[in-house]
Amino acid sequence: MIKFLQSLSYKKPLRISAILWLLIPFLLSPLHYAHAYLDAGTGSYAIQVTIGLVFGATYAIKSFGGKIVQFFKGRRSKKDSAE
Amino acid sequence: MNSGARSDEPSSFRDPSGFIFKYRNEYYRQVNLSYKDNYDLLIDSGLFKELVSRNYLINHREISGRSVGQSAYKIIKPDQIPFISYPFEWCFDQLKDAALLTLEIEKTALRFGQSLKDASAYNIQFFDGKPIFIDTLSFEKYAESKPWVAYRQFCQHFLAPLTLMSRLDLRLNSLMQIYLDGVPLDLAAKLLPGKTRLSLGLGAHIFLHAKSQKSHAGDKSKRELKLSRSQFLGIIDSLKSTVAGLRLPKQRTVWDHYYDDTNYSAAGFHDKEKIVATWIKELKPKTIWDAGANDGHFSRLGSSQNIPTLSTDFDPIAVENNYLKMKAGKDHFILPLIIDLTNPSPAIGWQNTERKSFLSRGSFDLTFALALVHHLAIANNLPLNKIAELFSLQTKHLIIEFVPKTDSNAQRLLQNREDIFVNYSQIEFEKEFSRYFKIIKRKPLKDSRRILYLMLKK
Repeated sequence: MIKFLQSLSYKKPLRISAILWLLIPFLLSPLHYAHAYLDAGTGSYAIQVTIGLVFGATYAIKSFGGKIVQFFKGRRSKKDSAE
Repeated sequence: MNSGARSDEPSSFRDPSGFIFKYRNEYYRQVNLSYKDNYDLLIDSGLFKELVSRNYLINHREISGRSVGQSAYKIIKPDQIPFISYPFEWCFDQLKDAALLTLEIEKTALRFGQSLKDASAYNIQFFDGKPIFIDTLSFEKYAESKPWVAYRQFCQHFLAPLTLMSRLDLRLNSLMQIYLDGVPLDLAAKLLPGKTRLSLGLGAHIFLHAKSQKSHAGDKSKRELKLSRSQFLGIIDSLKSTVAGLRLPKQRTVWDHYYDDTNYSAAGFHDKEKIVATWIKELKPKTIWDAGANDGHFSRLGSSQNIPTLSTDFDPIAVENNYLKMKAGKDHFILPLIIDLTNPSPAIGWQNTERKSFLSRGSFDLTFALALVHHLAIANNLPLNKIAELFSLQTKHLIIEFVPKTDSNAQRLLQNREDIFVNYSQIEFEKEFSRYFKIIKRKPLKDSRRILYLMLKK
């Protein structure tokens, strides 16, 4: 390890062993896929909360727009039948 | 009910709400006490009546005095499905219709204060020419603010395979055979072209969903994730428009225009139709299997007589055409399925019993093997005795067309290969099939060298 640090401090070209040392923390850190078999489905819940904001708003606008169209259609048909 | 004569179906053992069992060759479903409240809500709320009246959910009747064990709340007897099929055997539009039905049921259930707790494609069957939901125990009380528990399953069972079929290749529905709980979303995201991300629906429900699954895998936090009813409905609405927007890819089939490219004259083709129709009338079969049906032209000779007809082919476009014709003609008695006879669907799932193999799912009064034997024998190197054995295990009567080597289509199959099929002759054909069948009739087809046989299993 000391040699490795010395190699860095003296700005010697990095050798393969030095690169491996650098990679060790990443190799040992838990990977997301390592927990796939413990997945409680949180990801599928979380994404619904996120995309629900967009799709919920779109749905509300669509439903509201539909109601407005229905309202005017209703008025027009009432007017036509009165005539 | 004598529990000794009862056999539990291995397809429903995962469900704590109840299970399916077979009793005297008919299927029943036990509703467990643990599901009592949800079952009562389904019935009392009027949702069951509503869904059954729209032919969305299979009808059932409650069987009194037939409780089988302490866990039973009720025993129900659903309408019996003539032939069980699986999503990897469906063509694109069958899977799409099944997906849209699932979403329509979820939307209706929400109006009645309920929701689907699972959205498995195996909960859909094709019955009377339409998809129908068969899992009566899939409904639960809608919990306000709770996200859709079946969202992941819907995306894996329907959206991912449909998108792969639409954007890449129709044959990718076979991934459903490998992955019992649907196509993993990270796999779908890797396979799909990058531009698929640009679609709002597909980008959200497949790509972002896969990313969210990945980043939350192993998440131990217990924070409550809330989704309002309008957001819930927004997601269902988006799934619906995303699925509805998926189209068939422009893919040329092996059998496309097959009937335009045969060596039959019009007279020969009509002669074949006439003979098959006459034999169907004489035999009056209760079930038919057309094992190489192409677009189902000859299957319709059976289904038009109101005979349940299984119409299989290995080509997804041929089955697609068959299904679309069925829908347009409102044919209630035909079931088109993608089945490769040289490699039929195997038994899969837990202990290889959860989903049955194709060949173990039924036998038939009558089977058609029309313009098929030369493909099996010459193109696939299958010995005639093996072909005869297969049909003898599945059918009582067989209508089979012998296509001699001199036939131009058989010649085409031999065009670029050595003729190693010394035993492929009419004499050998009759000899091998006579081991399993009695030849009842033999009719040469007009303007052709082909011969049509009617056989009875020995």
